[in-house]
Amino acid sequence: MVLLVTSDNKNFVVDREVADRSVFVKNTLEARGLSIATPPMLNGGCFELTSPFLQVLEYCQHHRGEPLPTTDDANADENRKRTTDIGEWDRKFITVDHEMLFEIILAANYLDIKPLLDVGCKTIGNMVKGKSPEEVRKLFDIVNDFTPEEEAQIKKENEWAEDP
Amino acid sequence: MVLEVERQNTVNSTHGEGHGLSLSIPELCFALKTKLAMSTSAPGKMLSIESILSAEEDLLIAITTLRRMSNHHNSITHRLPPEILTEVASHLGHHTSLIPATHICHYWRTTLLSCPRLWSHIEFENEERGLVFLERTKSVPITISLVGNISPSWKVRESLWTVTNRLIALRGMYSLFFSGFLARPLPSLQNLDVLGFIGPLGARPILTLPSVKFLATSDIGCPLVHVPNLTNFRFRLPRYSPFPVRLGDGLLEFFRSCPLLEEVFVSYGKKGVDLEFTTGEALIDAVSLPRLRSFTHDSPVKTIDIGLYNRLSLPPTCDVTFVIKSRRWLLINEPWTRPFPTPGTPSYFHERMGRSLFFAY
Repeated sequence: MVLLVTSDNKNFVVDREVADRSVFVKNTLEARGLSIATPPMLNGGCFELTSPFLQVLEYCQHHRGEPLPTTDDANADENRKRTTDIGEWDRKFITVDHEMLFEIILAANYLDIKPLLDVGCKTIGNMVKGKSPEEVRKLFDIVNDFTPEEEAQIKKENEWAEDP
Repeated sequence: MVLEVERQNTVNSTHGEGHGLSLSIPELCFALKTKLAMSTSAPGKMLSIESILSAEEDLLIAITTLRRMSNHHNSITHRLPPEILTEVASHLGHHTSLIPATHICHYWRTTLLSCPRLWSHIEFENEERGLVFLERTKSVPITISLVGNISPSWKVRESLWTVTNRLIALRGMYSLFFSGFLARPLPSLQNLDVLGFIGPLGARPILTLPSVKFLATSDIGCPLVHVPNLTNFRFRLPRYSPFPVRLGDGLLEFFRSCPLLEEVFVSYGKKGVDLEFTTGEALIDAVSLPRLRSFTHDSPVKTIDIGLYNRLSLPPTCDVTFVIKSRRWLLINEPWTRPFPTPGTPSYFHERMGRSLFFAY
């Protein structure tokens, strides 16, 4: 068993197999020979750890025992990126509000849980795909902040952007 | 000029300075006020056109600054560090989604444009777009498609000649240019996909491509290329070829030159037209493919036999699949004398061949 302590001092006792889904935790435990890993806060404290951490734990528990992706297979990585398919359980799991989705992605990135990061990035990718820039801005509360020079460049790009 | 904008095209390396402008809001306000006050300080002095235009420019910069600050603080996507935003963009796939993503805001644009691998799949159907993509790839390995552009402009040709050393995949219609391009040294090319039917067979050069491991083509009657390290071969002959081709011997000759083959996929159509051998299967030594793991023949029509398969010597562990769309074909063709398997049955054992044959239909 492994005791994980979040930055807001909540304790979680999980199986080693579950904790090892995080490469960060796995490496920390192996390097220090400890049973405690403390994921630090991200972005100066705006990361509310407990809530997304619970989600991340749920993900790790569901996928426990599955083979971890290897980093040496470039082709597999490329193929993974070319597909936007998300498994049914993962799709349901990641169907959360935007705030939680981004927190999960940041947590997965920090804790180095590649498959979860992948699911999160694919989800955002699917949200963006097929939408106009204006629609994406509306979706994520973004305002157009281009300089006139950038606008001119974009206008030029639009001449060939929509060609098949 | 009091106000300055960092009009850099690269993303700040430190996440959290995403608005990319150098002044804070109070500083901006102060600078604008000062500038306008200086313009109108003398009594009765009229504002010059230049000073009005200059003030307008400053105002635009100030507005841009405020908008970038707003995005930095309010938009959830700006919390993502560049490497994750890049990861998101890598799932957008086709350029029709990738290009609009660079038109969302400054942060998205600078992040995506500064990641060369995002632009590394380049289609030259639109040459202007292809050249922009090529420039964005900097020095990373690239995949190029010349489908729909059999005769690229000189500008494109010259650009392509400069990137031959980092070309890992090439797809295109066979053409004079394509043939000439293949004749150049392509040390990194691993994946070659040649489309189109190239007409009656004649004397064509046999090019050696030692780095190619994956080849897809639609004409191999007279081998266009020699690929000694090939592991994966896909052959698709158009069902209704404009010219009769006798490709049986050519295919055998080709397979003999590729002893490392692991996967073969063939799809062709008419007996006596597309597939014909000069000697009977019993009269020649079977071509040995000792490493083959998978042999697939897609869509044999009802009149075609399986002569190619019978001329190959495959290891016992190799999966053999015939993708059959006609039940009648299976019933009338030797050596399939057993009842047709129930639809969905994954395999069918044939005694004569002594191996499991997988049917998909």
